[in-house]
Amino acid sequence: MIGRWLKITCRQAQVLMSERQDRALGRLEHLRLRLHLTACDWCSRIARHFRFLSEAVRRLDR
Amino acid sequence: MDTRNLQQTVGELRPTLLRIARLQLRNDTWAEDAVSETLISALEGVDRFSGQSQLKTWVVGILKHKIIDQFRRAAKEISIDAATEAAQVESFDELYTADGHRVDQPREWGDPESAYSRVQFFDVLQLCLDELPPALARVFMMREWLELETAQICKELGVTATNSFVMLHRARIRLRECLELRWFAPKAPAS
Repeated sequence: MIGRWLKITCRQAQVLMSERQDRALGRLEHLRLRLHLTACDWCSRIARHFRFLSEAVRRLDR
Repeated sequence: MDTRNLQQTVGELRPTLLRIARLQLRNDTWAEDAVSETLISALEGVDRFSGQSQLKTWVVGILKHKIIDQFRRAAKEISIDAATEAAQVESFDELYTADGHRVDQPREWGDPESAYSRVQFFDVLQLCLDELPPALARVFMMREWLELETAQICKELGVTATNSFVMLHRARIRLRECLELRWFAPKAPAS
């Protein structure tokens, strides 16, 4: 029951992965995302890609 | 470096500044104005350049302020663009199954430093940014390059926080897909 309550899809996780770069996630959002990323290699990879993108854009002027 | 050399070096930065200003402002006239004002400010203040940072870093810092000034001058036009873009619905259905899981496996991008060390990578990144709708590119660059807080972005663009989060998400998804396709996909063997 609790597991179902905490479970989110890749689509929902990717929204939270983006938003955590722009705002502080709520505790429940944070927990849901963390649990999803623990189980989902594909989304973990996309989380790394989002961080990669941020760093790349900051280097555009170098 | 003497003042004359500094002035020459500042002038040589113009193409780089213009490229960045165009990416951020998505309007050639505004970009030209921001860069011209940057160069004037830098040349007028060259005596104040302490030499503690790189000259380019100092001039880019001035450009960031001039870009924000330009946003304020063009506030009406920019906020109309942002509101129009915020109203667009982009569901990315092609990326997900009906139950919300990804359709295909994202590639492993490897060591970021190896991409950052290649000039061509930044050409591809610039191409991907150019392909974003102007309002999406502006909000993304405001957040990631100008490093503005979302509250300030919302104030400058006249959009809600929710709209800004949605636009930033759309920009990231599009850029990720574009880089994966144009830079990280395996190259077809030459025939």
